[in-house]
Order: sequence, then structure tokens, then C-alpha cells
Amino acid sequence: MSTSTTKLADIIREALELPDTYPADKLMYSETPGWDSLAHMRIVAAVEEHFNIMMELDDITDFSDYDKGRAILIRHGV
Amino acid sequence: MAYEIDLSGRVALVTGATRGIGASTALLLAKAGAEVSVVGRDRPVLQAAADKIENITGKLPHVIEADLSDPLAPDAIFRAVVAQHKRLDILVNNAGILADGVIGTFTLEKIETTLRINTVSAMQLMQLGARLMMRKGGGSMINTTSIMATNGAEGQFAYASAKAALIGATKSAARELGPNGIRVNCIAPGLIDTDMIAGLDDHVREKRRQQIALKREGTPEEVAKLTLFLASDMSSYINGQVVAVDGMMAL
Repeated sequence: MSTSTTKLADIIREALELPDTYPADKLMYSETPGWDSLAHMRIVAAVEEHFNIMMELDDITDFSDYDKGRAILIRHGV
Repeated sequence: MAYEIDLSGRVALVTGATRGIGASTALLLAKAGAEVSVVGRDRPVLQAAADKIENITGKLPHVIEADLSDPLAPDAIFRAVVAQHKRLDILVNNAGILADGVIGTFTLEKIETTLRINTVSAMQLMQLGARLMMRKGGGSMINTTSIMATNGAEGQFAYASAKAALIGATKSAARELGPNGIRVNCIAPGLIDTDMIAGLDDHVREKRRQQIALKREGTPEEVAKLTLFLASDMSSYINGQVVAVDGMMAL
């Protein structure tokens, strides 16, 4: 697993105030505690800032879990 | 110690900044220390406005040429802001167009263009702005509506509709973004001495002046002062409001 994708999990956990041990593959929109629509925009903002990217609207709606987030980062050349 | 508004270290984006209220707003924000990005359609006029700000403040604003009738423009504007500043603290949605006409004569294209420039582009910029503001834990958005939005006006069927919709967008955004430290407010100018009303017949203009308690038109700077206040921490508990700057005008 690359540093980038490890960092993605860290960013999501931090935004949701989850422990570092929370499994990355359990990070899912509307399933993971706290990951609601408002938290989603905070996660998007944090991801955009950290990786210096600007997501498209489709990216934001597709970004429904950690794996989808990884795919989006790859598409943006991260 | 006298109160001072200090926006040093903050980044502001002002649309419709080539002239009138937008140009005055960009200048006041820059005078208060903000790094300002100015947006306008007409590059030479926009550059002249930016040069004026540089002459007064010593800082050249970031110039972004964009036509907000283009649905892709807001995204391009934000890419330019991110590339230049990587943050945004103040968004001033000032760009707007009047659309005179009586009901029954508006083409669909004219209605859609009026809504696009006055409302839809502002909503797009608010969505993009919210993401950038969240990065730093807050910000202030100021949308320019109009006294016509809440009172209506003969001949302004499309414009008043567009500006009224902007109030709804402002109040919804204020509720939704408040938990993220982002305040969203509207300013509602009355009769302001700008190019927008330069085409008004002298008789009509005088009649409008008589509808104002202060018996005069406002200046762009008088409107810009309100925006400066709403952009600053002086207004830290003001959110979701429509603040008139109209000398007590009755339509």
C-alpha cells in the first residue's frame, strides 16, 4: 500500500475523529460513525488540500468509501 | 484603541470587480490587508481596476478573466485561486446583470442568462468556496442581492427573481455551513450610483431618489464598507442575514 493511500485513511479517520486503528476497509459513507453528508465535505476539503487536487463533482459523489477514494486519487495522478 | 479591520493573511475573491460596487469592494478589502483575486469579463477594464488597487495599496491583485455566463467558468476561477493562493477566506459574489422588460416579452434565453449570471454562477462559486474555506476552518461569503428581491419591481421580473433565489441559497448555505465556521450573508443595495443605473432616464432616476429617506443615491464605497464589515471578524455572529444598504428606500 502506498504512502498516499495510507495517508488517505489517516485523513478520513482524523476528520471523523476515529482511532488510528479503525480499519481502512471499513471506512464507508453513511456506514462509518460520523461520515454523514456534512462530514463528507470536510473530508473532501481535507483530501483536496493534502494532495493538492480539485475533485470534480462526480468524484465527490463517487467518493463513497476508502477504496473509491483511492481510485479517485489514482485518477488525479496521486 | 480604535477598532480596525485587519484582513492580513486572508484571501478574498470578488466577482464583477471591473467597476462599481465590485471594484470598490476589491479596493477596500485590499486596503484592509487581504490578498484579493478579482474576476471580470473585460480584461483591459479589469486590469485597469487591478492597477488602481496596486497604485493605492502597493499590492497587485490576482486577475482572473472569466465570463460567468459560461457554466464552466466557476470551476476555472477556483482552479486559478487554488493555484495562486491554495486557500480562500472571503467570497464576494457581486457579478450581476439587469434584465429590463415587461412580463410577456422575456425570451427563455434572457431569463436563463439572467438566472445564470445572478444566481447559478453564485451558487456554483459558493459550493466551490465552501470546500476551500473548510480547509482553514471557516470563512465569510457575501452575496449581492437587491432591494428588488424582497419588494419586487416593475420591469424587473427576471432580475428580481434571480436575486430572490440568491437569498434562499444564502440562508440555506448559512445553515449548512455554519457548523464549519463559514458565515454566509447577503447585502441588498438600493439605488447606487453605478453604470448599472446609468441608463435610467433622468426623470425616473429622480423619482427613485425621492423614494429614499436620505434623498440621494448611495455610492459604491458605501456598499463596499458593508461587505468589508461582513467579511471581517467584526461581524463574527452575523450569519444568514440580508442586510440592506439603501438609505431606507421604499419601492
